[in-house]
Amino acid sequence: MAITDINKRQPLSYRMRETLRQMRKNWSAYLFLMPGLIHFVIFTLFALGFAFYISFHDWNIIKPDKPFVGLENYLRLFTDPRFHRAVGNTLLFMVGVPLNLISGLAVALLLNTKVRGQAIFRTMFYLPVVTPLVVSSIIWKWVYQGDYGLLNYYLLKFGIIQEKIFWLADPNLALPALILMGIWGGTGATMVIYLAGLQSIPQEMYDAAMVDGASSWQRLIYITVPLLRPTTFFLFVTGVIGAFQIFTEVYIMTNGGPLNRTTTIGYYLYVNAFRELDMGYATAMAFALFAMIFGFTVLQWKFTRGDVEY
Amino acid sequence: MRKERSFVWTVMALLVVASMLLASCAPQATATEAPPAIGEPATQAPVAEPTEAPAQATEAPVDRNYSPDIADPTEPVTVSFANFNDLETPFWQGMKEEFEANHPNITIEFQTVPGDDMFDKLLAQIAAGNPPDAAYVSDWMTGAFAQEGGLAPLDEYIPKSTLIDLDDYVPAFLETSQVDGVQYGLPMTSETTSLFYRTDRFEEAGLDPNNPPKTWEEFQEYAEKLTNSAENKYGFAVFAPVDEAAYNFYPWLWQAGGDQLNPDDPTDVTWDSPEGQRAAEFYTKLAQYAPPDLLNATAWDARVPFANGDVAMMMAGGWLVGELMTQFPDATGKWAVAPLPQDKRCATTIAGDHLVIFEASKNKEAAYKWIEFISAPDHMIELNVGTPDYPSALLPPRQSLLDDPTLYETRPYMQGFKDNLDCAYVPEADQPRFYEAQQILGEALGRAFYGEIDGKTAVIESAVEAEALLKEE
Amino acid sequence: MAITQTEKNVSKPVSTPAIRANKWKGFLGKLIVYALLTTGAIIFLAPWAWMVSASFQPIGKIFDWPPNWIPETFTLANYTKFLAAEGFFRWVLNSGFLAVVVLVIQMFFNSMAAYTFAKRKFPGRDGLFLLMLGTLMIPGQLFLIPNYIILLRSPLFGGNNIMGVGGYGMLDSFWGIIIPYSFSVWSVFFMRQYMKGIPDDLLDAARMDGASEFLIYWKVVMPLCGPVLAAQAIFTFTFVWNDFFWPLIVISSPELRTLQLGLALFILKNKTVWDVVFAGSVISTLPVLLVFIFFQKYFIRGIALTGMK
Repeated sequence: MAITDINKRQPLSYRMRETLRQMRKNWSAYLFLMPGLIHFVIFTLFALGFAFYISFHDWNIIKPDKPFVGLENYLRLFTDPRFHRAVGNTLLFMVGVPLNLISGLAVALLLNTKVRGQAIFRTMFYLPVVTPLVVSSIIWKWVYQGDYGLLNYYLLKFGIIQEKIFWLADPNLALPALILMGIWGGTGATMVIYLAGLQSIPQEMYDAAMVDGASSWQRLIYITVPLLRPTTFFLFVTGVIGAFQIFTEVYIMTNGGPLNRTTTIGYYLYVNAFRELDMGYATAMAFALFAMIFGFTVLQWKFTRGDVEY
Repeated sequence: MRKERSFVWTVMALLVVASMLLASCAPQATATEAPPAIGEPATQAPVAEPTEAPAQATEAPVDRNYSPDIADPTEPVTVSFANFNDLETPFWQGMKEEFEANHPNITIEFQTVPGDDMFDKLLAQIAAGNPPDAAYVSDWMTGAFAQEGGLAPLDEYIPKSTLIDLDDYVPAFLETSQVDGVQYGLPMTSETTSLFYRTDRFEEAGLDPNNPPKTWEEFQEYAEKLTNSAENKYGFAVFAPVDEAAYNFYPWLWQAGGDQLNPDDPTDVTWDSPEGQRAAEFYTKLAQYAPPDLLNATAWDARVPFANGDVAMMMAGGWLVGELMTQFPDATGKWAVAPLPQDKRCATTIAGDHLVIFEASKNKEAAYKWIEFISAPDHMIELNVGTPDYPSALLPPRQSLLDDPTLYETRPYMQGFKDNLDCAYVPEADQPRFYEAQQILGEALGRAFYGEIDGKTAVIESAVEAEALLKEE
Repeated sequence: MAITQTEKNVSKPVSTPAIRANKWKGFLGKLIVYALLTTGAIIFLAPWAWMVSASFQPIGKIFDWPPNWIPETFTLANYTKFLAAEGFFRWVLNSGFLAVVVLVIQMFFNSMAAYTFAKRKFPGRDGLFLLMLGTLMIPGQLFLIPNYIILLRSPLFGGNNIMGVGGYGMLDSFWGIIIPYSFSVWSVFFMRQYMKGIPDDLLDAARMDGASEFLIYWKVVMPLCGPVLAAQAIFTFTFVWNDFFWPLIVISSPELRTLQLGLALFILKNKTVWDVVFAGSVISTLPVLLVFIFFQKYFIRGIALTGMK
């Protein structure tokens, strides 16, 4: 980036020469990237090229022939109300991203103090991450049951609710219920990442702040949170990407219901590709999704750049 | 710093361990290598001999080459066989051994795939031109694959068989294994959707457990009496997810005298006929007797409240019998099976599993010999009705086997399924995009279950949308 | 960490009213911390604890009401059934082997790429990084069929000739899992974010001393990455160990089954043996937990970033 900035006003030939010179000088950087790049080209770019090709064709996976249909698959996205609803639901799932960050950070901060039994606490918070998703989905399905669910049992027992709530069967509650389960399943991983990030904050910063008489709250706001920004940025971007692609929980727990209120793009794409056997439409959907997330991420990147580089 | 170094050492140590593991256990597996025969877990009792098998099954090693007119391969070949059953039971291992003894040049390679994921794996394999030679699949997969040319037609082999007599197969099941009149699958197991009910709950509600509801009116009356939602007791279970809502609607639709599509014009949607409207009204109003928990669930989820007695009646196929007997022994003696209630006519859905060969297979003849062998009556009986250790209540799809009275002696519930077979209904209309149309119907019915629209509106509106879809181009 | 500081303050032996008030505040703070952690941990533990409890009960009792936290009918049958499954030890060995190999390869490749993106300047860096990041956004389902074809057509693997024809390629072998998993953009991103925080002065100092780029990466940067490498190890191990769908698609031979594939043998169409599945899930989580417990201590150790800057 810096290189191009400097050379922006130079003639093209000069810029090209300079780029080549920089490339020669930094040859080892490319060598370092080589294993990853080869893997990336074969397993990602090739697959993407294939998918991009398919998105202009009609392909049902079983038949080898794939007639060219031009932009038809993409145009269909504009008139498909189910796709629009899936986009809306997916955006609602985004609510879980900041919630997950907050809960992960809170746990990490609490566990970064000198509490006894840290290891045990950390392990307990990490347990949901190691539980296979198939199993945790079965468990949560039962937790959320209205008549015999664990959650209602305790909510009723402690008088928090007066009438049983049918979490997954209620069109307005199924999506929040899935978000809640996502926080349960994701906090452990977020905590681990924040704990690693917290280790990179130099102790001197806190010591200096202490000398200046900063309260613990001020230290959190003025030192910890700003210095964790690269970590937060990572978690936010991957969280948004994850939310855009949410699939397994929906597949196992609600099948997109009730009344399609939990049909996400990831789920709708799967149904189109592997149930309705319309791979062309599914890939077009994926590229539209890609364009959306990419635009979103670039915006985010642009807005958050400035004083701190990510 | 030293501590950090130790971390790098840890990683190195792991690498060493990994390479040792690699040296000791990485198997040189190639796809042509047959897996070793894997035995049965010691805790499970060996499967009893097929006592129900018809006369032709005997102890002596018999020649079980059922199609001598199809030559055995002269070179050794391997037939790969994908299946969602547990292939490591003595039953399947025994079949493999016996078959290989009969056909020395054919080796069978099993690929067990969990049922829910089988379709995805087969799709990937077909797309890459690398499917297994043969597979044991659900009937809807046969339709999906065959329609697009993924399966090999069996018509050239079947006439040469001394075993497969298509006339003996129950026509309804035969129909599900054909596309455009071409035979693509050998029906292996089958089931009819029937009414499961709790006899104990019937007694509590003052209903005669030997007299299950026969008409719609009776059915509604029973459901009403069996429902007491304050105590978590419900009369009947309904399911609103798209596929379930549509699939469970069809029996009611047919019973009322309606049909999904016009057989003469498969782009003409007919589920909005007056019969269809009546059926939809009745069907969607059943939600008032249903547990709200199951509204966004499936029949599979409903097995638990049924087994616990909270749901007094539910619609299901024979699979539920095996599940109840093995997993919920406490419910034994408290449930029974009856045909679905009738309206203008009796009607029910059928389902089943097939044996198929893939078009891309290079060993079609050997694969055919294998699936033909599996279809032998003794195997068919055992796979359908199971053994004491693996109880099952599926119907063998061959008439001669169904007519054998010994089948019902120890299994009274089987009679209910069999009687229901007379009501089996397979829609005639051939519509490759029906699955998409069904999504529209299911979605609308789901909304009706939730009270957003009424049943009548659901079928009328969805018919308009589905017809637009089917008439496209 | 905020509390840590307060505590340090308190540890001075003088006792004035102000310090005593501080002490009381510290005690209160601690109490709140423990209360929050314990409540949170119980909520997080509950569903998992229920699974453990269920794994010791026969299926008919599992869904009882009210929930049986302590098994009413205690049985080990579910465990013996799962452990007695033919091939159980093979599954564990296979899963462990794959997880360790993938972990080691990934740590190496990913950290090299992360270091390059974080600390080197070269033409095309930002563009390449954004491109890689961009591909994270493509839903994974789209990669299934193309990558399956790539494995099938890998030259010189599994009986294939140099053109990738004739055999089964990397399918039905561990290569088909290890090679596609040998690099992860997600991890590169993660490590890069962390490495960005390492002061450049450290690297420049090493460059002044004439250290090669590899030496800087290996001797200067990597030793500072303990926490992030530990986190990475935990994630990669968990991911590979728990991965189900890709091995399912790739592996067909029983002797190559992973633990999750073995577990799936009990999740059959309409015949799932839930009690055994719960027992198997408990067993399958234990190694991952051990790995977590082993690596997590690197989070509190802190790194020697002090002294610089």
